[in-house]
Amino acid sequence: MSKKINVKQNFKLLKPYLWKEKKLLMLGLLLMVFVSIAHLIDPLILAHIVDVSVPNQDLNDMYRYAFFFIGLIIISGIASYTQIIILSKLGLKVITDIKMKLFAHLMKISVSFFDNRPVGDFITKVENDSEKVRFLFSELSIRIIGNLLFFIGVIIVITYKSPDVSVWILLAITIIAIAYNYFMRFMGKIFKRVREKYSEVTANINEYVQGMHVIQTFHKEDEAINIVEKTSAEKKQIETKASFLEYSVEGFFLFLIEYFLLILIIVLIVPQIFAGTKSIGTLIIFSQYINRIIWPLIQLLENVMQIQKSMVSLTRIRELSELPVEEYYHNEMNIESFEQEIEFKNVWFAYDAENWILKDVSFKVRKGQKVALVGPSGSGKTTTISLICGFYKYQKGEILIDGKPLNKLNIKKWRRKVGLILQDVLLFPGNVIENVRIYDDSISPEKVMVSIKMVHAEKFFEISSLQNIISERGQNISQGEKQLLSFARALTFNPEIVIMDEATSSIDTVTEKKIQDSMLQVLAGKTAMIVAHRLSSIIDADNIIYFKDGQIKNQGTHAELMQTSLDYQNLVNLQFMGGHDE
Amino acid sequence: MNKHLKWVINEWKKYKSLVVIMILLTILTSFISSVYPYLFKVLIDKIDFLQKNKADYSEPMKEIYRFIWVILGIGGVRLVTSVYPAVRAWINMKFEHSLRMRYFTDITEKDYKFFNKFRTGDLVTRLTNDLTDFPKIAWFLCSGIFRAFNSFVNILFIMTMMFFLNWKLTLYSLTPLPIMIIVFYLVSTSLEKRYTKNQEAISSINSQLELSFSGIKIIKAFDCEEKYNRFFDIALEERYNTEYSLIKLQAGLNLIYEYIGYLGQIAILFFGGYMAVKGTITIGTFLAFYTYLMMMIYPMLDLPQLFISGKQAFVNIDRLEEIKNFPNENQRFTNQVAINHFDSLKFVDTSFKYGQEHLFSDLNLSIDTQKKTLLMGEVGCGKSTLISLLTGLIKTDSGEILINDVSVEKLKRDDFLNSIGYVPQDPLLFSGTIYSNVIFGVDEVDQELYKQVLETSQLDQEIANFQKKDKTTIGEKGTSVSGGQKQRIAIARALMRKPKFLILDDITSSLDAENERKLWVSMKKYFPETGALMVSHRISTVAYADEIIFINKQHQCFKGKHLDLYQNNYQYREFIQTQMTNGKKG
Repeated sequence: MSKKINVKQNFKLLKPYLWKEKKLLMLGLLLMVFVSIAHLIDPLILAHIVDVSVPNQDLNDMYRYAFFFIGLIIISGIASYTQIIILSKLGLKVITDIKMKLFAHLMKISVSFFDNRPVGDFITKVENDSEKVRFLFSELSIRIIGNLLFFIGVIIVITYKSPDVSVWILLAITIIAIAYNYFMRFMGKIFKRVREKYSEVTANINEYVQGMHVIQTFHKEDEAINIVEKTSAEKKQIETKASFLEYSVEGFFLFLIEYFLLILIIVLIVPQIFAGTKSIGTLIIFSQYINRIIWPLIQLLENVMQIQKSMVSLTRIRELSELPVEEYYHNEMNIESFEQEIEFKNVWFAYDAENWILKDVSFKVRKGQKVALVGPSGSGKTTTISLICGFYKYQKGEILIDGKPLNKLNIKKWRRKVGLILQDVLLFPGNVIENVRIYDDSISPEKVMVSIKMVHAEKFFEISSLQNIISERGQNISQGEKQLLSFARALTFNPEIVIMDEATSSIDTVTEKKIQDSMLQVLAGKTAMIVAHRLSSIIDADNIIYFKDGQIKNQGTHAELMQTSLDYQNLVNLQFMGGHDE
Repeated sequence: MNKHLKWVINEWKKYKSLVVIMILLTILTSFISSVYPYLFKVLIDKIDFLQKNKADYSEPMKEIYRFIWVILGIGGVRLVTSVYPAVRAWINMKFEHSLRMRYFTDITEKDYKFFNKFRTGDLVTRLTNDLTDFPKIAWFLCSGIFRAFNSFVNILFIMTMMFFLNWKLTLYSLTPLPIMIIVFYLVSTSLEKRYTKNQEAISSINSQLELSFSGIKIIKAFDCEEKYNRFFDIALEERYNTEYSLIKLQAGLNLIYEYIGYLGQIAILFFGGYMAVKGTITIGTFLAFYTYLMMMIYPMLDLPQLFISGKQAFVNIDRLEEIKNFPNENQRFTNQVAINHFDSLKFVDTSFKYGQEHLFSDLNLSIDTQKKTLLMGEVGCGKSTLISLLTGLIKTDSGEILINDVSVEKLKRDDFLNSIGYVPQDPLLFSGTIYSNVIFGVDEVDQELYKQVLETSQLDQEIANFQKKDKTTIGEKGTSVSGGQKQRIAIARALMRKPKFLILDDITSSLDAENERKLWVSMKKYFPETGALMVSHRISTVAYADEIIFINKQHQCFKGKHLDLYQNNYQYREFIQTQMTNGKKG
């Protein structure tokens, strides 16, 4: 949070958006002046009636002013409505534009950026930040400018009416407002402690409810109750203290505003009334205005803090939008089609520093071959296939595609030749067709439908039309069906090389059969690399690469390895025959 | 409706004296705030009078200063009544705390059926947000009720004041108000409905955005980064439109709110102005009316809020009562028979239904509690259920479970629970250190035993490698307590109680074959007396088991030594064979 906020750079980011909407912006500001005047006028009318209409017993004069008031509030109502709409719309437009560009940009940065961030949290943060930036335009600017205009208006009027009195009043009001603001900041800290205690209570309850059967079998219910009792009582205590402090100090401020300031006005103005230099109307104007400007003033101080927060948010958004795109995105080198082999030549790789995940890995995959990667989890299989997709940059050695280094290839063109099928099948928002073609509208829905038929996922035709939305997180689709969908995706894009991380989860026998069939379809005539969890996948493989601790222990066909490698035999017994992969 | 009111009254019965205090405080607060405009009226009229009769008063300011003391006096009382909202908040919190504790205590007594029905997150919400948030139960119980009462008394006082000042003007100026308020409510409730609808739409779009970034690898692998912008276009445009209509709604609401105030002002300007000019009311009265009317509008708008927040609170009250009223079968122990040994364990004609489906019917089984018994069978055959029946987490539908030939239900609950050591499938540790979790179940720590326990559960060497040793915090980000280690901490936790009989629900994932061997060796060394019942998916566990209980797909149980079963029970043979060939099963 203590990052330096570069206001200049932030405005540079905003300027083009604001410039585009400059007419809206000007109109919005103009309307604001109207609104402020309307809020200012009714004490003046009251004063006029008291000072002029009543003493003169002039009914017409009174009606004139009353009608004038009606006219004014009608105009100001319209102005206030339009102004809110205009400025909010402006904020919304700007932030939608920024978000659109930001999301598009985030798609292009390296996968490793997302590795350390839970996506849900990350998106929520981006959302919060952009809401704060939007707030800067809509509510915040309306309030700040509105309050400022109103404040200036009040100063003009009361100074005009009585400069000497207004000096004292303004001084008193400013001191009260600043003191109040300090007090609120202090309260903010206390309320933060209340919130912390509250989340402690929540965490405790969450933990104990979740582990209730353990607590019950260990007969520790009383301890759990005591701990919850303790934290909940602590929360109660802090919060009670906080609210007594808050309300009594606030009460003191209200006393100052309502009573002290009234007395001040009386002492300052009434002698002048008796002297004949001031009217009762002036007293009314002052008494009405003090109540109306003190809160906007306090708000104004608060708003300044909010601007700072918005600026921090804007800075974070700007930094995200300046993240570099994937490294070898713009490489020129390209291979027309994959002809010979993928070669790993002494490849070393670490996600962070020297914590090597792959150590000196070398192997070849020839065109048309089906290669299975096996080994305990964490041994580097998944990392290997991620490297082939170009998600990460290897540190030492070389990956060669038809003899050309992967690092030098244009990554986008290379990926178009690769089809990736992941273990956890994630569905995208949107309907089945968009899920299969990943929003690539150059692929026709008909082509998608053919693939869906090929993987026996006709269920999607039956229950609902293809246009039907896949409900949130695909809860209406089983795990096996999701896998079928990801096969359909691979078929649709028709890659030259299929890379697959086989799912481990158990699946009912009917779907299992469909998956076996579809896999044959997907792999037919393709080069394939499979992180294997099925016995059939290793038995059918042309070559099996056995990983352990980031190194290749053995290579060969199933029959060969069963003969030559004891490790492999153990692995097959444990992992593929009833054991557990841990 | 009635039962809710009863519930609310019941809660307040504990604080009878507070009710009186609150009523008095409310009345005092309302009185003080309604007196302020009247003070101003007296002041203005006084000034007007003194100014018009200057000749009679040589020092008019003296009169004024005297009046200032009255203002200060009233102000002082106002200062005192400023604690009123704090008292309200304090009572809210009292309710919040006592309700939370009461219903949490209820939860600690619930059985598995309850926890099957209610998700943890849902229960937590009921005990936190539902209680604490504005305007839910705790707020409603005191603030909600008394704020409405406050508004009501305010209106009452203000009306009285107004009638007292001039009843005609009161009638004139009040006539437009009810109509405006009705209009306001009609419009605002329909707007609010649309508002919540829009907000739901927005949060659904947000979760869609989340989804797209979880799939970034796939998007990239198929080179669809640019194509995917089409989705952002669709989603963000939808969001823009919803937000925009939301803004319009809000601006509309704002406007109506503002105009109610204006309308009152206009009414007073016309009627009051007319009367003031004609001389039927003083200018002080005219001004007082102007302020009173403004003061009355907001309590009037606030009053119906009671019903809205009440409705919400009643829903939440129902949700709390649902917890309490959920039938509880956990009181199965009648605490008659004390035990200090664990000789035998028998299921006699035990039946258990899961929902409508019979899981076990007339199960007869005896387990030698001095031996190690391995429980095997396919996923869903009832292994965990059998264990839950045993640990008392669930109750049999008919038949009995006998321990030392005494029905479990007659045992003393403490005695029974103290004699078993239970390791759940999911380790379920509590926040705190490794140490505090291991000693979770005991009151006094025997250091010698603690060491043996860590050794048995294969934790000692791993803990030695941690920087903070056994003071390492579990669950904190960045600490390296792995899933397998957590499960072994759960084993240590169970052993720490020196159980007579150890129940291990699935040890396969926490221990690899080598660690498992070490576990059984250490068990023999340090806990030779302790029998065990364990679930495992690893065939190699068979080697450590004295006996096997095999549950087939029809939920029938077969007991015997491995070889006997393998030779005589074709289902067991089949099961073992498929386990060995059918790839990995969970």
